[in-house]
Amino acid sequence: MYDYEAGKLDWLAAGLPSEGTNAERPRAGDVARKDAPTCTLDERLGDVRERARTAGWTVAVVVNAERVVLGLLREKELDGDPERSVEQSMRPGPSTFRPHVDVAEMAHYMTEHDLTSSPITTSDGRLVGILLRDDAVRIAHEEHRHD
Amino acid sequence: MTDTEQRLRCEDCDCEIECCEFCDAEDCAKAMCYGCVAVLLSHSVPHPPRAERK
Repeated sequence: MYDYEAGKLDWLAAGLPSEGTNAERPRAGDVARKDAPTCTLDERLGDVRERARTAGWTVAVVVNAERVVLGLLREKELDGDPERSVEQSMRPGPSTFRPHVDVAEMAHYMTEHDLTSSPITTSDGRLVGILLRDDAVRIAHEEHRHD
Repeated sequence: MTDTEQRLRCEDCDCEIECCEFCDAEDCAKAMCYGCVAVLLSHSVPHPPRAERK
């Protein structure tokens, strides 16, 4: 018996294991790509852009030493002046989503909002990965076929 | 058009917002506030419950 004082939602939001029928449904944290490129505030934008694009990414996540998300560099920001720092170029405080959110829900709203990728973080802001809309839509369709 | 008319509003609860909390866009056609996104994605439950709102 373990009394998790922060509550059930926080347990799920931290990406911790759960049981029951709904636990078998794919979640944003399961589908998020864990190899998303990260960078720090003091890096040169040009260096981050090259690293991200070489790895096939159009987005990079700005994190601190504890992997807490500080900002996001989407395609538009990555295309900025390569001599500027990440801190000067990033989109600060981006919207992030918790690992327990249903992938089908994320697929629906990412499509509706024309969002190609979303950072997935724990409730204390640590990066879990980047959820790509294409992955979310594909998994949601597969899940729908199984139902 | 006045400044007030140009302000973005949450599609769900109609509150004024600076940008959409789902996609961060300032011109989102389906803009949502932080509270409505949190409820939508089961981060929290609405208070008071929607059925009791006028």
